[in-house]
Amino acid sequence: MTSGSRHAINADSVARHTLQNGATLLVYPNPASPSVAVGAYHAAGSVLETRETAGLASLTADALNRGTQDRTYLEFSEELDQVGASLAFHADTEYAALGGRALAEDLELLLTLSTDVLANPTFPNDEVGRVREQTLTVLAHAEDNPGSRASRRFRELLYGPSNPNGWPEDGYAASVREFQADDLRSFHARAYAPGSLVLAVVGAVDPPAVRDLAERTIGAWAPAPGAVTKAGWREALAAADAPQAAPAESRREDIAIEGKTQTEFLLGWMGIRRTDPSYYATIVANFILGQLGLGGRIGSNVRDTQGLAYHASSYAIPGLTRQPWSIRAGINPANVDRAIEASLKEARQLAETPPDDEELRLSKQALVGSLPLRLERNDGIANILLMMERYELGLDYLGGYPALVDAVTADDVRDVTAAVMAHPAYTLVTAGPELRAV
Amino acid sequence: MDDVREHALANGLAVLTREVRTAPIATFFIWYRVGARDEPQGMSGASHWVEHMMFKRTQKLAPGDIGRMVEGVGGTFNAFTYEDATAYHETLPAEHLDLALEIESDRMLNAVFDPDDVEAERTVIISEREGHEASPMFRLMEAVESTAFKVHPYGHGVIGSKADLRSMTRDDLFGHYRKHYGPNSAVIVAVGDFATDDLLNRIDQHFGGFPASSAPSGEAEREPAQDEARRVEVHHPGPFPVLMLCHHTPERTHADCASLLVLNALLSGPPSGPFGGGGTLRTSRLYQRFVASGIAASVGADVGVNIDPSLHRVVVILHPGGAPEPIEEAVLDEVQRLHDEAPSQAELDRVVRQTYAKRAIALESVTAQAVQLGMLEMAASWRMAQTLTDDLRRVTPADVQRVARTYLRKPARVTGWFLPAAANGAAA
Repeated sequence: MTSGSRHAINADSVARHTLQNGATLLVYPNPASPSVAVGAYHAAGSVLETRETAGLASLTADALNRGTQDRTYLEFSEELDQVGASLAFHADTEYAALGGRALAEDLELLLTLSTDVLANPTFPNDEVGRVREQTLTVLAHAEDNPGSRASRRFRELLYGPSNPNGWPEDGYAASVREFQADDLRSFHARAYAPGSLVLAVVGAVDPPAVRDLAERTIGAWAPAPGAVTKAGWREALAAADAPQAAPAESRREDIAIEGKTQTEFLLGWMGIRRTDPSYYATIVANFILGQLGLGGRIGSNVRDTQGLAYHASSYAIPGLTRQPWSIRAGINPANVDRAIEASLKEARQLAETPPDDEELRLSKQALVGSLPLRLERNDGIANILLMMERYELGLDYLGGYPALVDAVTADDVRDVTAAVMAHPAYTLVTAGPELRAV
Repeated sequence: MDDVREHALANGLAVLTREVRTAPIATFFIWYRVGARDEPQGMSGASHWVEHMMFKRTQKLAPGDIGRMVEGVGGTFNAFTYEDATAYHETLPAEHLDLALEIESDRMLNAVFDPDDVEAERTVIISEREGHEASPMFRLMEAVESTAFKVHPYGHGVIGSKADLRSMTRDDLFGHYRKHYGPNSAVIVAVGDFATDDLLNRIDQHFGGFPASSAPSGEAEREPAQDEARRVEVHHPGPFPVLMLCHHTPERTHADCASLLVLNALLSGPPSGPFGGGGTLRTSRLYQRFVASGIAASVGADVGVNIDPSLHRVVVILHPGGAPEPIEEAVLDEVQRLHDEAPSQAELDRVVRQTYAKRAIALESVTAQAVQLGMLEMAASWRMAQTLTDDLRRVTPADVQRVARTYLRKPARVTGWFLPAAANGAAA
């Protein structure tokens, strides 16, 4: 029997290279599977849009492959489908991303198409119209779904109206309906550039050959004059990270949606950045509070002991900007207040009393021991390489990760919980059937 | 999948193993031959509820213990119930694989079904159902299944009706557990970093002493052939209309299944596994007709290949306010095209090539491999995992046209619509 990860991902095994146009390439060879995974992130997230153009980054990413100077959308799709490959583009709040899968022999196709789509999209009017209609349908679905409604309103309240973290990545029907192809073209010209791009390639590949290939494809993408630089992106992120004053008192909104039988709630506070020194204590604390087993202490109280919910958990997923630490659950409307009370009680308990040794040990071991599972697939490895680069953790990060988690003490867990969740003012949104009618 | 080994213990417990040494992890699944199809009248949802109870109390374990044991070493765990089977699994760092054997051997026979735990779980499961009810797709699927199957238990969903969930008793559930859980109703599937002979010894130590039970027959009442097209409409508040156009299809062991998978690949995309599920390709016939043209928001199709005859489904999500009639006509037009024209050999070759690539990627994880082996073994035989690509390669253009005419015909059709309505039932 063996222990630890069979993948020694470190500065010796990962080839890191800056391409001629400033893009960063990371390559990890994994001969165990005949496939390859390609992943990338770059600046073009919604941090580069305004409140009036909420959803523009997302629509631009969604319409990116709908036609280039060299290919129609159908031709792009044909080339991929012919060989069972996939390549998708997406914009998040903090960054835009792409992900591709193929047999290793088709890596050149993935990189050629990625480059063409990133550098030369034409945004044909009719295609943009179709993508816009699809987005409006997705938004109509989100309006109708209690979980999405609660989550969207929660972020609006938490971040306020002028912060890109506060508006939904895919925007609002009112803004999206107005977007024309020219809006996408100008966003692309401004926000798409190789300087902030980090590309990871993982699979049955030869690193020097990948480097040559990447130079010929992604590396040949010349930035447009005036396009965002890496420094420009960092500034936009910093602006979206303006310290959020905690509200003077707790806020609660109840959203009624016709025809629903269950209420979803989201309760939370502003949390930390990924680069915050308290990150490791925070993920351990969150694991204890709302993850371990079926939803940690919250799941145990709300689901197992009281039988109030099918799902009840907590989430702390810090990013380049501060992100919330929140609790969410799906509850019968008659039991909403009981479940909220129980969740608050568990959060405050952890903010006052350190966890016992066994709970701490199990949670730390879970966070460390699950690493080999996250490194099983090529796309999992690519995601971890991109995460290490995004947060400037260094290529030897994984080797040191167990010690970082292990160093967290019971008092650290209490303290990080207190720093966020002991604040008396929280933000709470429920969505579902009209609560008064229950 | 050429190196899967098959074993059986004296008490009838079947074991499939595959050594995969690419990562220091292993997955352990135990599959029981019990699902929605084994539920008698008034007990819809019993198999899924039993699955929930298996995370509660055994003679050794208290609620929450399994999570702490598995996650405490960095593993993951879960369970799922579907029409034909129930599966439990743990994926673990390889040196901790024995934990899975301890947990699964314990709860195969020793779950307690404490009455208080059963009552607490009743509200949890009703809450799970109410969460599903938020989805138009769930409401439509429930209506279509009950319209398509008048006799066979595939007519009621896995989660169960609210009435049954409210009325089932602790003893009903415990009886269902005792009837269907035992070594001769189960199949273990282990994939990952272990030495097979060593693992088999340990499986024998944990499970070998259990007596074989009188396993249930496994026969469900046969659905009479449908001889007239059926329709059902769900009017409920919702964001957009959804069409589910279905045709009855044969059981997974039927010789026509490979041809139906190819037919479905032309409509939507190649299978990533022997049950389809590869997603909708942008070059597929349905995507081009409905989404690329802009007349609908999304489209998909799948073949529900089960132990018993099931359904082929085409699902179209319309834009808000979209008119239903032209969409239904267009789907029927695509069905007619399959009747009228045999596909080209080049299209079929492409399906085989796509399937190979999709599977190479989908099966990178040990968990995905174990799911595929187990699901196939439940429906037919795990050996289909080895033969899938060859089975598809043998399908001819004439086969595809023949199965279209045999199964995708009007009398075997069930058409379901979800149509947004105001809360009082009026059109929205």
